[in-house]
Amino acid sequence: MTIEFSRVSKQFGEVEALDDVSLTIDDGEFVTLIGPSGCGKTTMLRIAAGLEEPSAGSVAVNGDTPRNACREHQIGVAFQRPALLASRTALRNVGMTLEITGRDGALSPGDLLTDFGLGEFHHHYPHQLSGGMQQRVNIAAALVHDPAILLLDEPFGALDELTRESMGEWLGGVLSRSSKTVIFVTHSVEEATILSDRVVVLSARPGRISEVIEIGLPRPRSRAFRTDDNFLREVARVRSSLYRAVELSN
Amino acid sequence: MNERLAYIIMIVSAPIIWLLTIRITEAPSFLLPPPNMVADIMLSEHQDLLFHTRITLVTALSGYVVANVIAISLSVSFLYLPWLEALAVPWTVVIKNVPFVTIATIMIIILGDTPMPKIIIVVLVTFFPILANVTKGLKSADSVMLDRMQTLDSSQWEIFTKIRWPSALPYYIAAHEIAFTGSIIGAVVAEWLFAREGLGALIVRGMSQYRADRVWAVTILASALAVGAYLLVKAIEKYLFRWQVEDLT
Repeated sequence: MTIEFSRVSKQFGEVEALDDVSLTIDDGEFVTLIGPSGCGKTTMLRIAAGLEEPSAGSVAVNGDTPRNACREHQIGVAFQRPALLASRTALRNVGMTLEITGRDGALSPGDLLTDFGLGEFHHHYPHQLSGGMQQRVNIAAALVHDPAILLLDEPFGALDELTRESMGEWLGGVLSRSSKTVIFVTHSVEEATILSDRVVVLSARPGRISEVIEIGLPRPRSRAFRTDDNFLREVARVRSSLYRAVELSN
Repeated sequence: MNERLAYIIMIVSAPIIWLLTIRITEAPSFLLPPPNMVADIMLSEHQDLLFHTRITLVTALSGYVVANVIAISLSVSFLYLPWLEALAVPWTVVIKNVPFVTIATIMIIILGDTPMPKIIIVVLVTFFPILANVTKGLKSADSVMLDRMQTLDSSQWEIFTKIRWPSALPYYIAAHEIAFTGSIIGAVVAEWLFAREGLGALIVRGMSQYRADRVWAVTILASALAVGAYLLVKAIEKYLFRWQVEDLT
């Protein structure tokens, strides 16, 4: 499924969160949005999820509106704060997605959790799980109905550096086995580089696309890859682009 | 310290303090009857006491059920009709703050010595903690959870039953801690004001007959009921939220 932003603007009162943003995301592509705070990356993701309406312009998901894509259960979302109910076990939290969408074409919540390395934690409650585990349950809940599109808003933002790295690696592995179209929002240049096909760098006030960078690295990209020269070169490219965007923002 | 142990210490030490007070002040038994005298009354008049206890309990529980039904219905309406909440605020503030003995008097003038004014007093005493807590609880649902539900195209009914009500439940139970005990106190006070039956009426009767021992017996019984109501809510809370204490190891 494709996602197409056509001249999208969004105002919150006086604040101009997005100004005339156009971007086409191809089927099966992993695109990361990065930029200084206030650049509207979360707003872009929320518009694609049908959670916000653009003030001007439009977003099309496979030619249709985001709300209709939601109705067809084609969208999975995960945010920085896990959307888990404290009173449900990991398994029942994941299962809740299916209680709503129905089971057509869905994955098995138990298999998915086991596949995510949580085989022994099916019946644990969120407060009994570490932050990284909670986020894996959260992403399982976003994936279990097998949507074609996955929208991730800083899912690893609250985790410590090492957990964050291994979670990024884990997510890359999970997604390499599927053909999902992904929009990923992050603050981390390394995370963006290792996961993405393209990195979209945004500048702030108003939120605009400053640069789009193709990451020309082969897959799969394992942990060893993080010290590879080619990888470090790409990281440097993204980082300098981000610095340019920050300068544009001031 | 263990909570259960603390309760036992209280139950044992209360009569000791009671006896010491009598010893020190040398109060005559028609003013401050000793515990054994009160215990005698409770045993010899237990049939009468139980009869009136039943009356008080029926009043308290009827009023409490009505209060719950009204408060929860209003909280749910407020969630979906914010203008209704805005309209209701001045009403709730006024009704809550008018001294309920005056409302009770008006109710007796209109309705006479029937169960109705007593039930209305219980409703007035217990209704607001439930309304306030459930209204707050329903709004406390996590915004990321609501966002996720929206992207799954879930119905309002699903959002209510799966997200909003579970979020409100701890608030609702907390309201019971205050209000369930309040229903018994409210019923006793209502009976004390105007009824011929119930524990509150027994207090009035005991007073007019200068029978401090009976007043004390009723006091102990009414307190036990109210404390029992509180402990029952705590037990239900512990059961409902038992998953919170289950440990990882």
